[in-house]
Amino acid sequence: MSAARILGWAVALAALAGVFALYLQPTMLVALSELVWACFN
Amino acid sequence: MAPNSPPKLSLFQVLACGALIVTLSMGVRHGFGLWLQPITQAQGWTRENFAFAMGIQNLAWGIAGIGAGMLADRFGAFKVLVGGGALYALGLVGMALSTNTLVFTLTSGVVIGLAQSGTTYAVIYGVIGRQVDPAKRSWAMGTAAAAGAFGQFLMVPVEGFLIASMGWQQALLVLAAATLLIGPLALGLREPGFAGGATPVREQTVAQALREAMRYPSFILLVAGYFVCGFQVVFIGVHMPSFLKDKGLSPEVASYALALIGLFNVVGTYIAGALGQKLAKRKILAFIYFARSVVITVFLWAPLSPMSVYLFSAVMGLLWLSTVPPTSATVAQIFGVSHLSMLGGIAFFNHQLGSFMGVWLGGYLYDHTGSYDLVWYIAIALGVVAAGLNLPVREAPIVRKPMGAALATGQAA
Repeated sequence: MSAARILGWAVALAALAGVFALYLQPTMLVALSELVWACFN
Repeated sequence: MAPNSPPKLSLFQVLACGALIVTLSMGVRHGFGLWLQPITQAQGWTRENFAFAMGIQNLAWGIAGIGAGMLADRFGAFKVLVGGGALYALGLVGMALSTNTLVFTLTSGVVIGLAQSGTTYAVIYGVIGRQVDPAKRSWAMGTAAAAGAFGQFLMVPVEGFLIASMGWQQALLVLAAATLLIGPLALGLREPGFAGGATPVREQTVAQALREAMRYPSFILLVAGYFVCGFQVVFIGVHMPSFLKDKGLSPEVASYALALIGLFNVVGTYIAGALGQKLAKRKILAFIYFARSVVITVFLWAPLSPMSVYLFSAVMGLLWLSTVPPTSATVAQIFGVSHLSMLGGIAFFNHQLGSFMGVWLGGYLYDHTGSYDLVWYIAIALGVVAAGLNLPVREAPIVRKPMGAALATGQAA
């Protein structure tokens, strides 16, 4: 596997992990949960 | 390359520009649910007003997709993408500034629906089909679809942050400015074959291509399978939080579930596209639909807990948009690429019909039976049916009569 391809995969995985981390932040989680639940109240 | 065929765009250019465009176009709309509460509160509207506009948006996207595909096949994707990007921005500005429900429905519903039809998969896949060698086409389609899946995954927290930091109205205006980037990005998808207003010579007219596809059993089977994809995915996406609430699970579980679906969707979509280069796409599709049925069955049968929800979400995420690359690559393989965006638009229209049925039937049967059980069972049965429908699909290129004979047959008919 070439260096460019390894770098590409590393960037893609880092981006996925970074975005997933956004979802795990307590403020984000609470805000999302409230919005999801608001649809049923 | 044939002596008269125009030069092709580079693979990197097509993938980079196509991926960024679908990241924006698929991502921006995916977070629209976050505006439900702020807009209805600020304007004094009901949830039904908001939901109606979003429903119109999905229908407009599905219906206009066929026309946008025809235009992209005829005049090139570039012009359609530029127009779509401008409509997207216009629709978002209208969504921010609407003060009555009619204008809100026209802008956030009709205008953004039209914009999506001109900036999403069917149009981008037409460029990929024409510009990428068939040996890499399924992989390239998988990469573009994974970019769209990443956009959906990314934009929910980004849009949540924008609303929290600057307010819902300004957040929409920022998104409108972002969608204007689709125009410059489309420059990278300006195909040499359409340069200077030229249109490539095509073996068939639009009517001939439509007639051929509608009479070809494998296309009907593929499209029927796509209906099931829309039904299952949108039913789960829309109704699962309510299902979890009924079962007494906390709101955080639903939020983690949506995050896991988003994360694994990117991975699964890429894998499906890459596998389509090596395996029969009909078998990949059959596996995806059958696996969905198995996963739903196990989820319903196993004791419900946060962990079972997370496992279900991760596996279902892998199977979420993974039908898109093999379906589109099969259409390209059977019919060629001259009318790929239009045929992709027809397939997507059926996907949207399935989506509508999934949302509507989920709510209707819940109201009449007091639970989601029946809809889950329908989703399981449809998955098995879709797997069975995809197995006999013939992926080989269709054999056409020579141009003269075809025209003579058409005239005789």
